[in-house]
Amino acid sequence: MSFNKLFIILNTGRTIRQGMFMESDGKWSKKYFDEVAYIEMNPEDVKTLGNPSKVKVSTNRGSVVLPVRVNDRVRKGSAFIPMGPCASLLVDHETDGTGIPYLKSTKAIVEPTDEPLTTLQDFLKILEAKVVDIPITDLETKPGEKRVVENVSCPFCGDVCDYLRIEVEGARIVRNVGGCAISISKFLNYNKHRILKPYIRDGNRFIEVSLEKAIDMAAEILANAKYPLIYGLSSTCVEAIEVATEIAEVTHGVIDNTSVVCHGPTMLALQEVGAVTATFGPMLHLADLVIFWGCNPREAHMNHISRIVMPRGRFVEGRKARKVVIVDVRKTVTADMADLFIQVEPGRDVELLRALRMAIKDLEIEVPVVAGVPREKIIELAEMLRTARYGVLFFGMGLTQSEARFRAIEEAMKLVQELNEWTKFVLLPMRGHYNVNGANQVLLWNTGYPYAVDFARGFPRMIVGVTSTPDLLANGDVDAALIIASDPAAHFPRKAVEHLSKIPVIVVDAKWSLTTAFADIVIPAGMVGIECEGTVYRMDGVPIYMKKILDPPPGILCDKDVLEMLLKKVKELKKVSS
Amino acid sequence: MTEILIKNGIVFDPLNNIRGEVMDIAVKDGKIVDPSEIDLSKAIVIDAKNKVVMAGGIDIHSHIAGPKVNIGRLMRPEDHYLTNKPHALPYRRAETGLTVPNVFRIGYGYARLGYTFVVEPATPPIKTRHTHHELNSIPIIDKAAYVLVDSNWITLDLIAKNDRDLLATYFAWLLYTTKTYALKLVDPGSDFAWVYKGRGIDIDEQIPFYNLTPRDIIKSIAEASQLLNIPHKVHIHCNRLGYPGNYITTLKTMNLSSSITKLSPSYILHVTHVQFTGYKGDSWATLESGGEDIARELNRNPDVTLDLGQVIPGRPATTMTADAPFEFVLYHLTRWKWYSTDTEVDSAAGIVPYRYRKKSYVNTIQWVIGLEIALLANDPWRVFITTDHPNAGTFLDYPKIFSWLVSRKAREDIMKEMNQRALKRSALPSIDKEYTLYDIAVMTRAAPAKLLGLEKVKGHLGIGADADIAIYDINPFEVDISKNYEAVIKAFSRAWLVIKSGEIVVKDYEVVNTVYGKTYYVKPEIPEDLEKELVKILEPKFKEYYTISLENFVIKEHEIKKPAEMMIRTALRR
Amino acid sequence: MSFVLKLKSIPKVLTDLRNVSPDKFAGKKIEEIRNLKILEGGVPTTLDTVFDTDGPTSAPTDVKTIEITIENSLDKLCFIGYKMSGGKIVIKGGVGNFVGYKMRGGTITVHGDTRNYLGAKMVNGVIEVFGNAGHRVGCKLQGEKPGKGMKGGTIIIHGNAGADVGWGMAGGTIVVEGSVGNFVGADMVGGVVVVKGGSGIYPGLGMVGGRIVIGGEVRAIVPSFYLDSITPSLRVRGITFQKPFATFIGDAIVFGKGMLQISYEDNKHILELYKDILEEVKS
Repeated sequence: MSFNKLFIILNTGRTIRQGMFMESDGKWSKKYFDEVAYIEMNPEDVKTLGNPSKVKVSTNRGSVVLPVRVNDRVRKGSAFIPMGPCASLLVDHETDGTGIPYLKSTKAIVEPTDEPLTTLQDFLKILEAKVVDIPITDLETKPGEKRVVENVSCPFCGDVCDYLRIEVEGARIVRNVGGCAISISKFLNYNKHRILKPYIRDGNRFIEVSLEKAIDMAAEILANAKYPLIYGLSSTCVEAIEVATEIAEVTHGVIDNTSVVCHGPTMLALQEVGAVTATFGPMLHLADLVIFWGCNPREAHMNHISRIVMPRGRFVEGRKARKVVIVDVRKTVTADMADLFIQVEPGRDVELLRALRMAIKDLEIEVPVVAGVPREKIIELAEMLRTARYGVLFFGMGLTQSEARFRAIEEAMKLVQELNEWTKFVLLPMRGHYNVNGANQVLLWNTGYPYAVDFARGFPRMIVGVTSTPDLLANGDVDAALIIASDPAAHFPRKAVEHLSKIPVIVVDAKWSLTTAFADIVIPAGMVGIECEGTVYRMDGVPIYMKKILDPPPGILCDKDVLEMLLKKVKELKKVSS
Repeated sequence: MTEILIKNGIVFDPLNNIRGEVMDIAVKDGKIVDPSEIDLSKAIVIDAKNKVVMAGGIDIHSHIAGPKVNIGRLMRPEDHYLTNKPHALPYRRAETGLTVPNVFRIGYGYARLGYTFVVEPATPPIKTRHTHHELNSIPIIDKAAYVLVDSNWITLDLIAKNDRDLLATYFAWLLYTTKTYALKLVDPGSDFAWVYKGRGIDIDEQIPFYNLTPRDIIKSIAEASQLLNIPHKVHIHCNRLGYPGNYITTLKTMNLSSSITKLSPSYILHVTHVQFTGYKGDSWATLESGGEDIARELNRNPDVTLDLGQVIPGRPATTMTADAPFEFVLYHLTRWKWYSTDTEVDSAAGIVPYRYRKKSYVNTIQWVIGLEIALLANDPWRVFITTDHPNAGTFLDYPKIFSWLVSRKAREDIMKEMNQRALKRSALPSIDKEYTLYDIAVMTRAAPAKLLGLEKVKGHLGIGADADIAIYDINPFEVDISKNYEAVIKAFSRAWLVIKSGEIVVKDYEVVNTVYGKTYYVKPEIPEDLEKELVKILEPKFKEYYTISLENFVIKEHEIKKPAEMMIRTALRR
Repeated sequence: MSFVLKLKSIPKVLTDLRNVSPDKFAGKKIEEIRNLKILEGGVPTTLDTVFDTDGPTSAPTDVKTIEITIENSLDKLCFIGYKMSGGKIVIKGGVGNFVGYKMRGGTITVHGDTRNYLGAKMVNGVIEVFGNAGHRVGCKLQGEKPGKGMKGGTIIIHGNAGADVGWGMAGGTIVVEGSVGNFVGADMVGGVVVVKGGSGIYPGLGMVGGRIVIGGEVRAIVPSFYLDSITPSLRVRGITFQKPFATFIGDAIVFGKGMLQISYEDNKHILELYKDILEEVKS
């Protein structure tokens, strides 16, 4: 046994398999856990450690023992853990006043170990979960009449592909034509690990109750709370989010959505400088230069490239007429298709973006190398940007979750604004959840702010670093939580999740998430886009009305109806019924 | 339903030719009825003695909903700080924002002004579902939206094909599919040029790629609207908006009406926020008002209407328009925040925060233009009061405009604080015209109702009209509004009482009830053969151009909270 | 005249104490002070439900003579000293967000740690923290123009401070004895930030004017700061550093004329990249 220790920079992110197993087998399955509980390292680093099969990964926030996967795509000195419970135990909850924790570029120590691998049960124990025995159930689906539904919209990622052909036999979905691997997994397994009854917690187990009883108790929790938090909402329809907003207003609480930990920084940057953007159409028809910066669409937005980059547009001849540039810290699978791959030093995107801005403005760059990229290469890239006919910059969590947070996005937005002095150039955030954009939009028209909106004083306020969920939870500033269609326990830093074990928590969801282990009340809901209708906003702001293909399971309502019942009850308790 | 009797109010109702008469107005089942139909034992009786009673105000052009309004909110958090008003549940939700307010402030704000019908003037087809979400959420007022058509690729293809009937059929389909009210042209053709090449164009310049000029586009769309017989024909934001010298383009655009064959009643074209396209001079330094020339053309040409886009000096604004190339120009002047979006194959839009300063030469000229046009126009039925909210100012400042129109003293007082060099080069200081409250009622009630083709039910207080009523605490028999213009500002800033669809929504100057108004949209009839022909062309084009499927593009009736559908008999035959 | 507020119940949620300031106490009887409105989370209540308040039977009208002491303070208490124009507040223990927000005069002393937005948008007065401060000390708010942050006054932090210290500040002085986080002095227009310890990444990003002095290690700077000179020692706001500093001018991307001065010896990793220019500067 070697006693080598390595100091590494830890990154987190999505993978296809994590996404697929989350949908097919569920968050409580071994398959899912195996897909989020590993560390990917560079072969040289693994060799330095003496080729261990498992390692202990420690940060200033915690440590876990994970199996090692060797991958030469990972940069030497860096490591990758898929987003999920294991990564969450390691990352720093500190948000630098921006609402988003340190989810990337975490300093960690990796060492070989004899300790056993961290299991899901360990994870729940560390976080003091309220319930560890979850009554996982699948919805029984009877075969029956064959039907084909055309132009179905996919409720998975922000691309909201709306051309799927779904084949149904009775209550079974048997085929998804047009969807990506994750989409297929989501549709075909829609019946798996479903919450089929309302539950309340009794000690460390759940007991079934009627919907009315669950709503009554949930309303009581919210009405009695001094400062409740309503969180999630990016995987439901805008009609439901609008009701949730009113609940927050009536209870003088906080409403927040998952953008706080993904593209929240994009919103903050927009508040500072604006942006130049476009919907998919002009990109498809005009773009001759496409940059993916800190995003990995081939794993997270799988149809994105085949929809926008590969096909022929009205004024551009398809892929061969488009230059594709990838900027990332690691050579992702998306980078394999690039005409140019630029590997930036982790956490140094701001410097590179800034140098590009300087090059475009013909300002002298005094240093020979910026963020690991030679000055000459930067000037060359700047020239490529300037001379494009219609350039597009897609960016993802590689930028938003970097240490620089919204300032990295601000740089990107300024770069694109300034490029418009020379040519047409637009940028677009690669939004994750299918309706996270819609969640921002609803809050904006109701409250003027996109997320982290507080109603303590009876009017909306957004103060990042104060009213943002990771800050509120990590500092223990709220006294109840309503979690809708989201899984903060799987994705939030440890200290934030720990607070969920100390306050009453209501979960409204279609499937058993890890957050249900922290719930006092669990209310089932139908799945938007499969069992429930409603509007969602694509990442470029195009609103799409989702169809329903099947009826929700008996006795189960859609999010909107559940929330309306809850709102009505809360209003009664708060004595503000009209 | 509530029965209400408003007693002894001083009524201004131009559509019924009532000029400040003391009379009673009765309300039953959401409509105005003869007072004899009211059961006094259960009716609410309102003593409106010494108060002005008018129909609810109608705003034909105010950016209140849709993607760019929402991005305006996102982009300007500083606009919301210090503008908050806590909720008073269950009657009133929380309000925030000044130039880009939340939906509640928009609804309540208009209600407190005594306005009950507002039109969002620019929605890109592909994002109109979003516009409807916001319209659905705006309380109290009735609403409608104009759909953007001038840079739409399918529109351009059909114009290039020179098939007038098919173009009209496409618009009929588009209006109904997007649940909108009228056709909107913004800097015609320029958004195509902007998305394609990053620049805007003038009325007789050729659009890149297409062998067309904006003049062709305006003409074709105006002709199509005649065929369609829709109540509000074309709503035009002229080319070269925001550029010195653009008043010529405006005059050319107004002049186009003479080349359109009139098949349908009402005006042929409406030129919107004309202040922004009323600039004489060849640079910002030599800028002068083109107001006199535009007013002269308006007086000469009975087929054209205008709204002002009046600048409110000394107050913040947020410029937002589908005129993306103009916003790019403005960004160079402000160098702060700039948002721009290329919206599919429909349109584009831009947003830039701005502040009009009293001491600024340019801003003073801008302020002058709107007022010159309003005051030099002979016919108040064809001039509408707008600020192009929030572009030249917020709708909340309309009462200031009323005061400048009814009182020369009001103008003189503010002119003392404005840029004197600019005033010296303007005609405004020498204009002594003063409008009356009756004229204000024309410009804000009767005429807009007529322009929208809603004069049967909106904009007046005759029997059978919708019971949308505003009562203002001012007695024109006692107050000389020409001298005491502050009284006008005070009274019209906060209506004393407002009734919407027969329900009291504002009482003692404050909102007391959150109700929701209707969304108006048109459904022009299409002959079956034309519809078939359209589908044949539309399906492949849509598939080629758009990145959503045609089926999911269609907005269904159930997506509108309170739909008010208007069937239109068209002149389309084949 | 001195008032002492002692916590008697522990708030579990963020609590808005914007009415705890000499200005709000001035001229009030002690019963009225106990009755002042506070907000526990979203629930309105009175000062009395959370604090035992001791002091004279009535407060003088002159704010300058009022001193408020908060005993066993706690990190949930926010907005203390909001808009105060004079007098003194002493906080014993940790404290929450927005202490001294928009403060216009007087002094606030904190014997403990503060959370975020300390002295944000302050105009005048003195804040002294014997402990650490959170993020966004003396900052502007999100979306506001550069220069809408702190306009005047002094903030002294004896411990460390977080990210965005002096974001968008236009005037005044911030002194941090320890180290600071990322983006110190971002979008600064004027004023002075002195950090005796080190800083995180990208000090002075987007600065137009003002001066930032960092006596320790800086993790990284952006390339749009141009190296100007090396000074053997440095004196700023009465503080002397007996060691050489490298002076950068920036942020060039906004044509800024701000001064970013970083310790020469502690920042070899940065100055290494400028070695060609350093030769020029030295000769």
